[in-house]
Amino acid sequence: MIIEKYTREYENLRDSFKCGNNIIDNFLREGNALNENQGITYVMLSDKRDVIIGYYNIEVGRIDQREEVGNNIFYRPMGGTVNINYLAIHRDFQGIKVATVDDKNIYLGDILLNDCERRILSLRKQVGITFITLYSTNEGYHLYKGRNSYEDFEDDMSTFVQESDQKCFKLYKCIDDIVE
Amino acid sequence: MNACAMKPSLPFITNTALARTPASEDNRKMTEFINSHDFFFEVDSDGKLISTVANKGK
Repeated sequence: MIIEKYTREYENLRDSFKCGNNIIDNFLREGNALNENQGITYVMLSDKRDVIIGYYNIEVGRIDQREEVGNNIFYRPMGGTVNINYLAIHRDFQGIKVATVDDKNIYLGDILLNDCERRILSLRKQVGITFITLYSTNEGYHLYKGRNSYEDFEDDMSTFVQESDQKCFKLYKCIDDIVE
Repeated sequence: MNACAMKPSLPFITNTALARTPASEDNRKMTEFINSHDFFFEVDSDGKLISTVANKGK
């Protein structure tokens, strides 16, 4: 399995990548994936390095806890995070079973997410990381929540969600709960 | 599996302390399997994915 940092070397492969979501496709195609101010992008490549099977993009962030004291509102830092900005599998390879464990199938999305979590885990002692966060599309929700033990934020943080994000699910995972 | 995540427009804020997220038994077994195996992926001329799985310990 080849999962490497996305560089100009792979730009010729980017236009063939389609996951079914234009925003996620365009992030790779329009060059933003090479802009390290927007996170670092890693691509899952075929063994011949001729096809991008999937990709993810991660950057650091923070979760704040909102507290009301009298008429004042404070935001207390709860912990450092790595946010999975984007994660997707090429639509031609979605739903393909790679292996089975105790009658449970393992898909490419599970393997790509596992690599992402390993990478974040390797960083935790160098930069303070308490949580992994992400906004999941409806299609991806089962992968994170159902299969990989991510948890929903509580409903009442929706005051901080823009209209464009309302169809997404806000999820997190404590980094201490990643299976090592 | 259609795995998708999208970048949020605004920061994460919570009103309550976040609880731990212990791995389910299925997730634990799946992760242990992935970590103990190598995966190889090729795409043939018809665009079909051919995957091979090998135990790292063998």
